[in-house]
Amino acid sequence: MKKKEWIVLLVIGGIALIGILALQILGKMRAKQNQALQSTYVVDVFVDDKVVETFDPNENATYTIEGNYGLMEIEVKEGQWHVSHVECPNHICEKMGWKTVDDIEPIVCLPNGIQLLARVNGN
Amino acid sequence: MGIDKTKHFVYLTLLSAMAITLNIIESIYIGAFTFNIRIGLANIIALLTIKLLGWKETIVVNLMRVVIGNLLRGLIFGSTFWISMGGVVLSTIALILLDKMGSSLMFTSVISSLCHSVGQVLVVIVLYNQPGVAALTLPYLLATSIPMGLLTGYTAKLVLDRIKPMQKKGYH
Repeated sequence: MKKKEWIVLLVIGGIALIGILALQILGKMRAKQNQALQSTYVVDVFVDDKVVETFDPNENATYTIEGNYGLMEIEVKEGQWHVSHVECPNHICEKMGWKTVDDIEPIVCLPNGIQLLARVNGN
Repeated sequence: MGIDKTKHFVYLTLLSAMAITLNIIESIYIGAFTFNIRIGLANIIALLTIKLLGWKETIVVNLMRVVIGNLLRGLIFGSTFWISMGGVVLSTIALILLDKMGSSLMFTSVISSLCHSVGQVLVVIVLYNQPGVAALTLPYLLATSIPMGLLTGYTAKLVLDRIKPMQKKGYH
């Protein structure tokens, strides 16, 4: 590879790393803000643009959502939630693991068009 | 290039078949690592096609891989199909432009891999109207596209180093 090409790759890599760092810092800031404000959160389950279910992450429960491809099972336990089972070809959302209100990345299943987004209760 | 029409067509068919097979193997048996990060094995075939046959054939191979690959997995015209298509269209454009500019194979591979990720994210933004959600994954996709692009570029280079001497001897 030419020297110029290495420089371009280093610049792109640098931008990506700055982006990842910024996301991590934002996540920590959000966690601190949550502690300070003691905000209560709810999680909206979207199928495409519509909210089909809203749950309190502090109430242990299991929800089954019908997406565009098949069913998704969401398990909520002690302020955390994860996808325990999903009918889709990728199963990426299952691998995303447990999420809390401090996590900046939401759980998304693109084949089903399902997104799990946390928001401050009342907003 | 010295390849007659039939040989050219056979080459195109073989490369398309390899791209489709790699695409299916990767999505079924290898799958994504964390988030949606993939090696992009089919990109090796795209790189080989542009070097062996040309830009028009690269478009054909890449389109066949998305359309037939998704058709065989039962995902044709679903959201996954359009996301793949977005990635492939942008990566093919990048591949052709960089090849015309005379960039090295490794660099072409990395940029094509980057454009694949960007193309997918753009389609997600349009389909789901969630620019924030898509932007969260882009830094991770960009960071991992570089090693994955280098890996596929290096593999393509190894293959070309073996094919080119055969072509010169007339084996094609």
